[in-house]
Amino acid sequence: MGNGIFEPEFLKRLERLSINMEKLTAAGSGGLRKSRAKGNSVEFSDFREYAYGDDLRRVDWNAYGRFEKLFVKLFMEERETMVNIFLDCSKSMDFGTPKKSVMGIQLAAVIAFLALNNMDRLCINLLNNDTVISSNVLGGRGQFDRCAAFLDKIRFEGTTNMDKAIKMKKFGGRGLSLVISDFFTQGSLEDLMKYFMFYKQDIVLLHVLSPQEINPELQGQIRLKDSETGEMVDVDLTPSIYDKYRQTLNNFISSLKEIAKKYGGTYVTISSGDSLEKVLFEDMITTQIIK
Amino acid sequence: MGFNNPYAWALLPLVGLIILMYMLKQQHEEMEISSLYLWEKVLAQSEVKKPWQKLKNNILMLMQLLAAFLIIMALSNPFLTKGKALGGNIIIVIDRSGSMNASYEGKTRLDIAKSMAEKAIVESDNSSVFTLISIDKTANVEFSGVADKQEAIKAVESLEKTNMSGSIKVHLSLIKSIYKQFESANVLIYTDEEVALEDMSGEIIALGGYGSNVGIGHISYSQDSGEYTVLVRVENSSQETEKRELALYGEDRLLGLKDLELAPGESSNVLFEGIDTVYKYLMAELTEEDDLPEDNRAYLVLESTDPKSVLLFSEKNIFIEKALSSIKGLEVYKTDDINISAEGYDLYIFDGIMPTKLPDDGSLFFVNPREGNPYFKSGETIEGGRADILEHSLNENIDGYNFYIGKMKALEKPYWADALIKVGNNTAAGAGVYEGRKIAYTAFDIHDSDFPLDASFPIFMYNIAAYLTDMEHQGKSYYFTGEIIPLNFISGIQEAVMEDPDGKKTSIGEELLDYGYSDTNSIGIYKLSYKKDQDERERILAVNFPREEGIDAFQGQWEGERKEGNRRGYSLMGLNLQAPIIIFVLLLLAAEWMVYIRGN
Repeated sequence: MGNGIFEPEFLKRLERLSINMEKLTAAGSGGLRKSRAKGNSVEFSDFREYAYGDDLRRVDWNAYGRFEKLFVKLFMEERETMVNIFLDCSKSMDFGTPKKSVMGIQLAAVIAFLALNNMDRLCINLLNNDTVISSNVLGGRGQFDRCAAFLDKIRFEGTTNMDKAIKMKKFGGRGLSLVISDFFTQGSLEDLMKYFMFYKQDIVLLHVLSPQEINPELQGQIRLKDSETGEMVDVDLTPSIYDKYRQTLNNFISSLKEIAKKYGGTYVTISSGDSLEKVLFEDMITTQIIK
Repeated sequence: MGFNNPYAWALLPLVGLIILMYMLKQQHEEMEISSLYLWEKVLAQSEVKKPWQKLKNNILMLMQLLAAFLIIMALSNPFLTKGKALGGNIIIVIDRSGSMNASYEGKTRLDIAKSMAEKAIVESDNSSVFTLISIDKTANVEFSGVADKQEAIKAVESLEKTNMSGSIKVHLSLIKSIYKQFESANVLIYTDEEVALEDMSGEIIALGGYGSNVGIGHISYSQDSGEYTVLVRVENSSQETEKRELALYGEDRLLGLKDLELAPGESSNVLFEGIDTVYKYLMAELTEEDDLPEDNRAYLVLESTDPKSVLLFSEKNIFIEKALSSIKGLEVYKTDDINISAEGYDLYIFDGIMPTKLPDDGSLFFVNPREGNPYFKSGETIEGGRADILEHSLNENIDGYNFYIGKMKALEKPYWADALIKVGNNTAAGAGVYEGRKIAYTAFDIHDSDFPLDASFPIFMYNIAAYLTDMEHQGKSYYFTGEIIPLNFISGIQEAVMEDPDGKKTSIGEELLDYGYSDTNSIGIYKLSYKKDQDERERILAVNFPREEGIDAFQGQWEGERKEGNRRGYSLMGLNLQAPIIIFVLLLLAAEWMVYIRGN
């Protein structure tokens, strides 16, 4: 990838970050993700009194010496998480200066890097039209190259019905699902969220908008052409229309926020005009998606 | 709906210019954006309904197109047609000849013409300028260039009927010349005569038609052994057989009655015999009223003057005797006895002979006077030559004639006499008044000339005899309405007063006597009172309705004519829409401005 996002210095900074997963899924093989479940990791978590059947190897004999009671040491069980990245590959994502698609790929790469770095399992899913194209399930730091190669082949074209496309994806169990899209999509987002909930997914919506979409700078009478459908609309861009546009955009963002909140997800608006660093170290850390 | 200025519609293609400008302007800059997802929501908010929005997008253009269209329409000066009246220069021609007195259901054709003309004036455009011409015997321009409708209507109302004969055709050249004065004009001709507009534009309103009418076409009399026989011609101009009663009156007394039955177009001569000669005038009357009552009466004046007596002293002159004896009203006596002492004659003629004693009364006429005549200085006999009849009131109808004289006397023209005929510088005939006596002479013997062979001779003799005897022209036994009655039959009269049949008296100045009396519109008996030689005298004259007006009045119906011609400066009457359209355009432009402001 020629995006220069994986320069050594940047990667060094990334290594210090991880995906903030409060809810670790119970199922799944052991990884580096700290789960709430207590298990046999090296990281101490708590004590409790010995009960019948406990592993005698975990009895804290020093504590027995002091309190003459048997205590068992409890350790954090470190589990791996299934991280699914859903990247909207419709034509609309290929717009904006800089392009939303670039921001989308970069975000996907960063999250993939973080996931692989944390020894989580990763699957990248490309949404196009009504289908989903999934990468192999990747695991381990060494797999990042394969992941990068997969991201490199992405073509942004056509439309996306996100609801339909994601429903093609079969989840193995709990996990984290990140959706990177401009959400200019057909299908009901509400249904999609229910689907995620059904498969016990933690949801993160990364809403990528171009600066031109956030603040359009068109003037006069313009014939707007939809890049996906080719549909055209004549608009007389008067100040009153601009006001309405901004209002519509704000309504759109807040509706997405509400849906995300309703289903326990997290929502972030990201401008493709912002630098990746700003997005990572400000927007995403602020919303505690990564830490 | 019509247009006063249809040429403005040539500007209509300019409307296309607005559409073109919009098309050029409407070329939206095409811009591809990621998705219309948001924009569609935005537009859905501002659009209530899509078709309306489409219209709204173009509403400014539509309003401008409408405004441009209406401006062009206003320029074309449109109006809602209301009737057929005209505008601009309107020449109203009303025929008021005798035939226009024919009536339908109590209204004469003239009344109908007047009310139609008044309606046309009322309904005409406010910018109209009117000219009114009435046609009777003459064409009278009642007014010209009047813009005030009330004034025009008053003038039309004040047109009175006439009984005269008259024809639009005769005066069409005058109407045309007035028509051509204007750059554009329309002629409205109200007549019962069949005429054509020719190259004028306008309308001929045909008022003719059939009707029930029997009229008197002619009346005359002949005298036979102290009685008159009167001939009356009655003509039926109806389309049906008519029964009538014809009455003959002697002044106010009924002299005879005859019943008639006339087939359509038939005329009948009715004789009344044995009429006493005591009456000054006669009147024939059809007693039943019909559609044209004016031609139901006819008057006839009977001759009443005393004959004048003439004593001719002549040896052999048959020419003079014959010429005089053919003159009605003269009693000619002839003698060759120069010794008789004559008196009591009105005129004494001495043809080459001289009585021993000249009479003391009457006028004198010397033909080739001999030496010793107290009135002339006799000269020697000289060669004659071409004799020219000079211009003089006594040479009426023969001035300019000439004849040849073989020999004549070189008479010196007396100072009191006017020269009537001259051969070179010599006076061959003259007349004048000397010591209160009228005296005339010729300086040649009639036999020494070819004068008697010339047509001017009897007229010369008549003129001289009439002058010397004060014989008056009898005049015609009747005149037609509108005809000028000549009054020059009497000379030297003072204080002439004409009383018409309606009792209206008009005094006639001396200067008008030569012209005659022209106010002869009324049918009936006119009385002329005048003073002559200190005597009060009276003459009566009859005026009848012109025959052709009665005959022509019921020739049937014919189509009028209508030519719109050049419409420039010509506006059909109606509600002018220019001002309302301009107001509407202004409102429209204001609305358009508001739409524009709101759109932004």
